[in-house]
Amino acid sequence: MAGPDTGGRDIERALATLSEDQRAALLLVVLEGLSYREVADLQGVPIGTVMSRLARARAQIKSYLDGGRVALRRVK
Amino acid sequence: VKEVKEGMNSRRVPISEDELHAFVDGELPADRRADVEAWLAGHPEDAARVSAWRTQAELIQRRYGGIAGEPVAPRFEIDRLTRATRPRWRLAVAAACLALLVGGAAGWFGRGAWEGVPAVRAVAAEAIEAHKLYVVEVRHPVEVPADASHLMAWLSKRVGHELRAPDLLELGLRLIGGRLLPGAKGAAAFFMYEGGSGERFTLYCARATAPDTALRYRVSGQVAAFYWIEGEFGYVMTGPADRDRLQKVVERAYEQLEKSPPAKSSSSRG
Repeated sequence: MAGPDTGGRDIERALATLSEDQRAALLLVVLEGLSYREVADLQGVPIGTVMSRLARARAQIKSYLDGGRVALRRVK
Repeated sequence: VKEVKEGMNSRRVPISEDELHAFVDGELPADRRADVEAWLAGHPEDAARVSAWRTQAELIQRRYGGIAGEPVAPRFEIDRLTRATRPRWRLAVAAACLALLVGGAAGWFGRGAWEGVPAVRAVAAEAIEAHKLYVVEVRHPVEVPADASHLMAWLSKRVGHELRAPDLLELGLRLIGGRLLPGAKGAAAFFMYEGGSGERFTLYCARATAPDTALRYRVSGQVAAFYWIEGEFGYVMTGPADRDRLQKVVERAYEQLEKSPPAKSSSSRG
C-alpha cells in the first residue's frame, strides 16, 4: 500500500484526469459536504446528472489509482 | 458475524449503484441504510467499491482538507449519521482554496455557478470563528460598549457603510457592544448580544462582492449560524445551536436590516 504522501500526489493526479464537471461534482460533495441537491443547483443540472458525474469520477479515480493492477472494467 | 438475512434481503431489495453512492455520501434515507448494509455484507464486490470510494474521499480530504487546519479523515462514520453537525464551513474554506491547488482546475472554479458560494461561505467561516473566539470573553467581549455614543459611527466609518445594530430586546437580547474585525473585503463589524441566561449571539457584517443569496444555515459544534448576502453586504448571525431560536433572532434582525439604507449607497444621498 502506498504511504499517505504518495496518496496525496496520486489523488491529485487522478483528479486532474477528470472533466471539470466531474471534478467539481466530486469535490463539492466530498470536500465541501454539499448535498446532491445543492450541487445540482450549483451546476444547473438535474440530480441524476450530478450522480452520474459522481459515478464516473469515482470510477475513473479508482481505475487510475488501481493503475497497473488488473482493471476490473465494469460494463454496465 | 452479524445476523443478517443477506440472501432474503438482497434479493428482495436490490441496491442500485446510485444508492451505493448515496450511501457513501450520507444521502440515503435512514430506512434504506440498513438495506444497503445488508446488501454489502452479501456482495463483496460492491463492498469493495464502497470502500474504495471512501478511501478516495479520505485521500481528497487529507490532501485538500488540511488547508482549513482541521483533521477531517476520522470524521467519517459519526458525521455520516449526524450530518447536520458536520462543520461544513471549514470544508468550505478548504474548497475555496482548492482553485489554487488543483492544477488546471481554475476553470471550473471560476464558472458562473460557483460565484458567490465560496465567498459567502468564507464570510460565514470568519464570523463563526470570531464568534467562538469572543463569546467566551468575560471581561472584554467587545471593544466598544453599546452605550458608547461613537460605537455606530466608528464601525460605520471603518466598514464604509451606515450600520445599524438591530434591536433584539423583544427577544430578550441586549446589545453589549461591538468590535472591528478584518474581513475579506476590508473591515467587518461585529456586534454582540447577550440574553438573560448569559447566552450570546453575534452579528457579523462585512462587505461582500457576491450577489445576494438566500438564507443559509450552518452548524459548527455547539454554535450555529444563519448567513446571507444582501445589497453587497454579507451578514452572519451566530449563536447557540438552537435553530428555532436562532431563526427568530435572524428574522427580527433581518427585517430591521432590510429597512436600513441599502449598502450600494456608499456615496449616498440617503
